[in-house]
Amino acid sequence: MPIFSIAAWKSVCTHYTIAIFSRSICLAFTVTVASLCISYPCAIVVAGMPRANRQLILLLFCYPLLTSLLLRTYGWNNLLPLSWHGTLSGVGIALTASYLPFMLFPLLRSLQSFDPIVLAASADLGATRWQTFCLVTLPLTIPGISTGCILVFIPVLGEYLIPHFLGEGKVHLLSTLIYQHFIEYRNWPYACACTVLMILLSLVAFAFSTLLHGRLSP
Amino acid sequence: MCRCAMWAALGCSVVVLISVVAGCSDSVPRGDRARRAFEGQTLNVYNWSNYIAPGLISEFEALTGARVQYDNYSTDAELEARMTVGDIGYDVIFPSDRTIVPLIKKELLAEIDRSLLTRLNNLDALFLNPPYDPGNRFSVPYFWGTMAVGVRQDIVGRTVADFGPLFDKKHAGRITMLDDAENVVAMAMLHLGYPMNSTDEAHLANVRKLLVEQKPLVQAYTSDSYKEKLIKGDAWVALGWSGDLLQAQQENPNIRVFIPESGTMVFTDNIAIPKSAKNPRLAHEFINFLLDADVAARNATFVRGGTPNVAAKSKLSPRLVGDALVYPSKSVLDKCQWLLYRDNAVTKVEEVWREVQQ
Amino acid sequence: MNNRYLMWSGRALLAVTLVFVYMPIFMVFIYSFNGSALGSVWTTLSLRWYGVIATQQELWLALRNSAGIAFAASTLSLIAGVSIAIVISKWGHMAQNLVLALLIVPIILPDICHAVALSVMLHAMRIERGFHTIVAAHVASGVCYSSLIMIVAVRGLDKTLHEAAEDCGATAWQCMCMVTMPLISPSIAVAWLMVFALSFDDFIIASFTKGVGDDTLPIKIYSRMRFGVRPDTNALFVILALVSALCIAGTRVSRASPLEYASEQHEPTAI
Repeated sequence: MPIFSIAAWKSVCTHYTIAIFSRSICLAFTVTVASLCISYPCAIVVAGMPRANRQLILLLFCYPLLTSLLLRTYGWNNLLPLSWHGTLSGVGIALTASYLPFMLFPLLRSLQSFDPIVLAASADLGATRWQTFCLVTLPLTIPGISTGCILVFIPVLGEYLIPHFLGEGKVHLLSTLIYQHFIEYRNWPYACACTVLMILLSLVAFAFSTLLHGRLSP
Repeated sequence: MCRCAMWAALGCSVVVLISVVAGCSDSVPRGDRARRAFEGQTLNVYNWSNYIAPGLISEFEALTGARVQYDNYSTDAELEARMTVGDIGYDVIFPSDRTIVPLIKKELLAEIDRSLLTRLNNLDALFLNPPYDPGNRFSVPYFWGTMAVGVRQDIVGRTVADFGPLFDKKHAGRITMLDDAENVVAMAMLHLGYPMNSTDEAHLANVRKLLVEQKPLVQAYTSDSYKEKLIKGDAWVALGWSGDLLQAQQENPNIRVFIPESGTMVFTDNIAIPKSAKNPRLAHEFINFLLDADVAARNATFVRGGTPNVAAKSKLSPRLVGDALVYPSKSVLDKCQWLLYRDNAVTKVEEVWREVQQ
Repeated sequence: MNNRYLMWSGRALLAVTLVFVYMPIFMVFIYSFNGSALGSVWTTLSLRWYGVIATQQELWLALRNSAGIAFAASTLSLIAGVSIAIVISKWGHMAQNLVLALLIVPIILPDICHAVALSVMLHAMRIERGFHTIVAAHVASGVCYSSLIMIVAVRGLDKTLHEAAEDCGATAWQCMCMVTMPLISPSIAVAWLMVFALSFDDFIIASFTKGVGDDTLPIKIYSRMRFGVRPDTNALFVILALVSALCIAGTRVSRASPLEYASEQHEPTAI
């Protein structure tokens, strides 16, 4: 029978763990925002393509997801200049490239979910392209944005391989912390406590995204 | 119609792929029938990486008919942690002297059955009956070595022959360190001139300061990939183990390996059998195999660690035996220290490491 | 003029994004033909590493393990997923939503949480680790993906077809085999492939739930990558990537294209 003790939770409340925790959240958030900024214009372009081209582009984005993440990380290892190895930015770039398709697919879906007639109507009423985008397209695609954000934020939070290989022992995130303490140090109580933190964070993020989905979409 | 054809093609290719893969059976090369006493059995070995000459495993498999499952680990902490939790499943492990102490204390090792080891007298008496395992009840020495520094002489030029280059700002971004709390702190202690196993607060405070200052200069904290980095030239200065660094030197002669004259860490890696081993007889057979003079000589030539096997040492090339890095002189060895098992006091060391890593 | 400028800059961005996503794959592909032993120094064009890979028995064994585990996990997940979808299609709205909510939770959690939870559970229940524990672990996550896909598929079925079949005298079993199954077969293919892909490429769950000697391909590649750049691993990657391409080509021609889910039958949206 396991002995009840809160020692692991006490270790979780130390500066070391909290610093790593906030670093993980910041990195995941940055990667999400970056992939949103890159994917949105791409999704708009793809949505405007004829069906055959659109399918081809989607296939091209889908294919890397079927190749091994380990070996794509290996490719990034070769690609990044040496000064970017072991930095948070290097890890962030590789994460963005790997999770971009997850942001693109829901965005594309939501861009195609509404009748394009509303855009024509908006133009008829005198709105400029930019106004149409901000006041019509963007609100209508909020479900897609929130789905995409969740599909990127949570896996990036839990991603182990990319921070481990590109971090070269210098980047410490929640996932590497959990792995290290579970597999190498076999400090299971601490690793489990950190895992519970990660679960809570994921659930909060998911709840937030569902709220966004429900409340803000027109 | 076309759709059926495509599915048929896909199905066929899958079948072909599976049959090709299935054809790769884990067959054991045929050997002398009379000696294949362990036909069909499996031996699970857990060793440091690059710590056995290539070809020896398949030779053992051919000799005994058993299959060897060979896994690697890179830090002491990993082995100790896995053994302590209990679900390990290995028959043979290679703990260092520091790790054997807690393993024996926690009764995780099985006693070695001397009657099954016919070649124990190949070993140098100096290594038998060590302080960490009196009477060699639980372990047999495998290789010994030192903590050393590897430098790319063609890039960096001549450097001081101690731990100094690891802290030199000229090598910023090209230094690699081990990824292990105890070993890195021990090195820092040696560099600052303190006793290596000290857990004194004042000493640890200075070590912390030193390592935190060094952190921006370090390219990577790794116990595995420093060899490749040195060979490639990504890293110019690396802290590592003498055996690994000398292996790297074999591949790239521009690497210069040295140990400080003032002494460094010395270690002995041992072969042991966990209590939970499923196949202790086969494990003893493996140890016996490794103790054979010929096998041990080939092993020592590849691993470039110090062999405690006297019979094997006599078969080594004079150049290897005369290599001061593999077999340091007595005067240097006398100044070297062993990493001791410090039980709970080690948490202070781990605390320093955590603060450095932040 | 403004329109054309926007259009071309949009296309340029798309091209740049594609290159960004594909760059590591190109790198690995190019260096697999590199004659030099040093991973990142290009010397000559050579197929040397493909030859080396062919002799690495342990890699092919790991591939066999991976393929076997993925096959078992995806088949079991699919069976469970189809059963769940068909069973709950008869339930009330609230009950269906509850099941959906329960199925979604494991999907939104990162892999590492699953891995830790499964490992702790296996240890507490004193279950000996091996091939079967990895399969069970993959089924535990795979079931959620396949159930969700199948629930969406079953919901999209036309109920009148089922009723018509019953009117014609078919038994429940015959209805399911001859009406329901063929209609949801594209989704079955998608669900199977999805769980197969997830299981084949999974590293973290496998490394936490494996026993001694059951190394899957990602675990083997990981332990090789730990030591730094290994040129022969590039060759393995190219081979695996070509196999994935083959699979995609196969599904592309058939109706069961996963892209139908993403792109649907829409006319281009002029924005």
